[in-house]
Amino acid sequence: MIPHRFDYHAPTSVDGVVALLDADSVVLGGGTWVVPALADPHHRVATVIDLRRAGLAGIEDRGDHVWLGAMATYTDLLRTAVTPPLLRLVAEGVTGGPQIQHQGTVGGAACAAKPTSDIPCALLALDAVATVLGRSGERRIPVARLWEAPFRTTVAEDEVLTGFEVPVRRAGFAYRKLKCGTSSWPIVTAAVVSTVDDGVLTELRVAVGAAAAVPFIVPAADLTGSTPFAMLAVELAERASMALTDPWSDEIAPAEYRAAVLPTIVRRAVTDALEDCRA
Amino acid sequence: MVDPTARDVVTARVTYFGDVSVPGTTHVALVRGTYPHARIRGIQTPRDLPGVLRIVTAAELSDVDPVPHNVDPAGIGGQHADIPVLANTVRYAGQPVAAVVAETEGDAIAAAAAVEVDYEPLPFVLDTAEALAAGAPVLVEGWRDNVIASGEYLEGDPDQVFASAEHVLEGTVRIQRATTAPMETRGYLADWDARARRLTLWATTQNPHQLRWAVATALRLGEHQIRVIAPRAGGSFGLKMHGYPEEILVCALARMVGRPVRWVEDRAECLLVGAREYTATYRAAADGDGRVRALDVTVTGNLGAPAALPGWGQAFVGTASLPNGYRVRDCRIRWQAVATNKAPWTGARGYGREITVLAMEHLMDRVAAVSDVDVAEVRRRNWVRADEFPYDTPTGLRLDSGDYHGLLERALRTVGYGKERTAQQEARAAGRLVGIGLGFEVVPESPDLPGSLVSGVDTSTVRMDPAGHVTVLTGVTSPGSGSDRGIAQLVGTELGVDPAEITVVQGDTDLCPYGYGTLSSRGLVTGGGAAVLAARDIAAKLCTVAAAMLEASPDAVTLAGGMATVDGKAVPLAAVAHAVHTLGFILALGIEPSLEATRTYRPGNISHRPDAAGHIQPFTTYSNALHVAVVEIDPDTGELALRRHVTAHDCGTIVNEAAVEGQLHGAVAMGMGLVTGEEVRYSTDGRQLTAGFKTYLMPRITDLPRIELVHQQTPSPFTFNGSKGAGEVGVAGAVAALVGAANDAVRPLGVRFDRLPLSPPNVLATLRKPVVAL
Repeated sequence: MIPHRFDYHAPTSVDGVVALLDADSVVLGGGTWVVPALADPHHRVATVIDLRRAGLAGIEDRGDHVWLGAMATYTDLLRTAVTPPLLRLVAEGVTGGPQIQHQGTVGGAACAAKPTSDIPCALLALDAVATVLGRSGERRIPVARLWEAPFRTTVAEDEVLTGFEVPVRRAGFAYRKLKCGTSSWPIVTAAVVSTVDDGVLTELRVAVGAAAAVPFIVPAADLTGSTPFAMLAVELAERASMALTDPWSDEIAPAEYRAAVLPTIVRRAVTDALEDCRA
Repeated sequence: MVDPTARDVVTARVTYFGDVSVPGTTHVALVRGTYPHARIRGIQTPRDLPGVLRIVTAAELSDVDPVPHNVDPAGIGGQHADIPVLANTVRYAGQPVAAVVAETEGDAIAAAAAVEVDYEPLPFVLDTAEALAAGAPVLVEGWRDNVIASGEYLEGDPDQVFASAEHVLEGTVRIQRATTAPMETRGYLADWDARARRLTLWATTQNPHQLRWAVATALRLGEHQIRVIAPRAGGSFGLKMHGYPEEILVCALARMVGRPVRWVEDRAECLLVGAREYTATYRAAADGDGRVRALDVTVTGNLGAPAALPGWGQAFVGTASLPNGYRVRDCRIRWQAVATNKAPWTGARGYGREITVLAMEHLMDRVAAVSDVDVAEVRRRNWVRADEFPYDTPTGLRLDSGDYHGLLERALRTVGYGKERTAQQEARAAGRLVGIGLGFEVVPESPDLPGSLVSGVDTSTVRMDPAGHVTVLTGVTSPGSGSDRGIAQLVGTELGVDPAEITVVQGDTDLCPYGYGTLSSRGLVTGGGAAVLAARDIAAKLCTVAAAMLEASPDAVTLAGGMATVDGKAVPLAAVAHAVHTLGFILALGIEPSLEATRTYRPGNISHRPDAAGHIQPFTTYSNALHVAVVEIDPDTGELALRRHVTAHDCGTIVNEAAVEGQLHGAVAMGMGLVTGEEVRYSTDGRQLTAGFKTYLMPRITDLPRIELVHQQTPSPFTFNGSKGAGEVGVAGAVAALVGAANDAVRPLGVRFDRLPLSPPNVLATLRKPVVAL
């Protein structure tokens, strides 16, 4: 039950969306986050701008990258052949099952900037670039700079996220997520993109989600060019622990728990990714 | 046979509370206290908000009396508290302090958020140790302390046995604050007819007649001036027993504004209503051969703020169930229901057995360990034997019947105990933490508490119309448990009619006989027993008239398949029913020419005469179950995986196996949820943090193993057909079995779980704790 009255718009173009944006508006993607938030009687907005008709739902192969429209749902990710495999893994395991898969969107999950969420960590591992449109034009924001703080992105009040460019790679992927049961939001996630050419590690990106206020990358640049050694996964697990300085805490998992399980999740994800490279 | 209830539910033909629509209805939202304990200095009500008809505070309810107690603790020597409909002093964050009536639900919620309350915060207590400490703030003016009620059972000489025992084991187990969480929350819709001076209340209630009494009492009306209608329930589990301020409030507001008034609880409000939070400390004395000789148990419940709800009785019933079917005669068993500044409890499925069964099974596993006896064998050595029933317990209860040893053998055979133990050894050798646990529970059902409207009897009417259609009206209700279809089945058998063709009417105080609704698995034994008696009256008349029609002796007539038959001659029951109504002066001369009977069934076993120790025997039946759980723990993450769960169940004679199994699945899953993570949390400043299903983590089907059921039927000698209650058994035993299995899994690490939930963070914290003794 949303108690307060508000104006509702569903513009048929992104420009139409931009024209309506202001400090008292809220942009509606799939609505799985915004609609329940509007039920709080202390949360009041003047305008709801629904993206459903703005033409942002596509997933397209654009040569060197895949374009993910902000309104692409998890189901779209699962049903589109060009979806990066890592995002397919994420979409399969999203909390809430088919109802959320049909309704929730990639752009919505990114903009909600919930610490305990799947999409940000995965986009970070994929080194995606967000595109946003505002009255002063379009901006491209590497996702490493997209999440600023819990529940806050660097998308400005007068801007709307239109989608993501995800670089195309021939790589091994893995996604590991620890939850406190099926209905739980993620407690710690790890997304790994790794490429091994002729026995040499040419790319390794390990991103960690839900463990901290915003997702972060585990430093691994120095490891490219090396042979994937037996203890690589353990090494990255240790580095992940070092990189976690301020663990996130919420009602279902305290900071100490997140810190305690982080190395296990990273170790398992890296192991999976290297296995995927071999396969 | 297609179950007509199931058909109607899945094809959306049943009426739930949310489907009830009355023209002109207004909507209520509540302003709830934001402090755990505070005096209200003043309330500022905003003006000119859209759609708002009225904003009501305690001052405007001077003609409304306090919420009547479901079962007043003062009745057994506890302390009475008046529970206001709207509070001047809040005793928990979330207590209703004002109500907004508005044209729409949204308008009401928005206005309620705009009401400003000026509070004077008072000292508060959140846990029982704080509440019981010397110098703790006493929460109710005039109370001697914060104990709502308490009790003690003492039999034999436990202290002497402890002094000479080979082993003495001490421990403490805890169950977290948790609640019922049905899919459908509470809701009330009241319509005051000023002309007829009559109130109609549609309510999510398990007990329509008792709710009618409560509303009549608080509103100073006659019970005859109130009709309570309980639409089909979307789950209940104890949440929908009476004793809530909102029940009275909605009716008072309807009378005040002269229009229908509706309130629906939201999920956060529903999660406020607690149902469990216990600590049990135990001491057990045992022989070297694994026999328990003495027991000393104290159960403390954190009941939250005093309420008119029946939650406090759980600590009492839970301890009365000790020693849980074991032959321990030297016992000291104590309980206390303690008031704190959390939100109050209702009674919930399990009704306190979850803590006492957990304590008893926890200590049994430890007795097995110190005696070097298998956990199955230690139970065999301690149980009451099948030939000892009816068995009088040290707490004054009379266990009706049972074969606990038989139950164990069925469970072990079904799970393949030997094989599972071998597999466990192999897993352990590979460094995996696999455990097997047993959980046994004896569950008193269908109580009759003297002086209260909690009754062990009930009444049913059976009618056959002139076309032969059968309608049953009963005083019991079905919270989704299937008592309606079970009763149809019983009546169908008596009358020789297809149960699918029988209409069962429940939950309407204008239509149904006075009855006591649903609680404590009472529906089938009480309402079913009454319906059988009534159906037999009808059957006798049908046989008499059919005999006249077939020119035979009534004794020779059989009723089956919709026909009355004698010696190969048959007449349809519809024709017999028609004859009773149309040819009464020819064919029905020896009987009253009607096919309607109302009967009341009073089962045996209940005794209100105190025994030598002053205890009464208030329960009808004692269903029981033995669970075997197999679990695995991930040592790196603390995740608890439920691998297998076998439940051997004995509820006496089974009337409808599908209904019994459905209830059992639900109860076991509820116990599993308590173990895996359902928890209501509070902040240190006394506010409830858990407000939705993203923080109150109920298990989903993917979290649970297939629940493997096996039945044993040991009839009760005290009920009309040997049936006992079904529906409540499963929660407590599942909890105990899972905790036992988890402890078995981590035994090689020298740690032990004694605190629920076994959520991954809690499990990992225990795994990384220093080693404890056996």
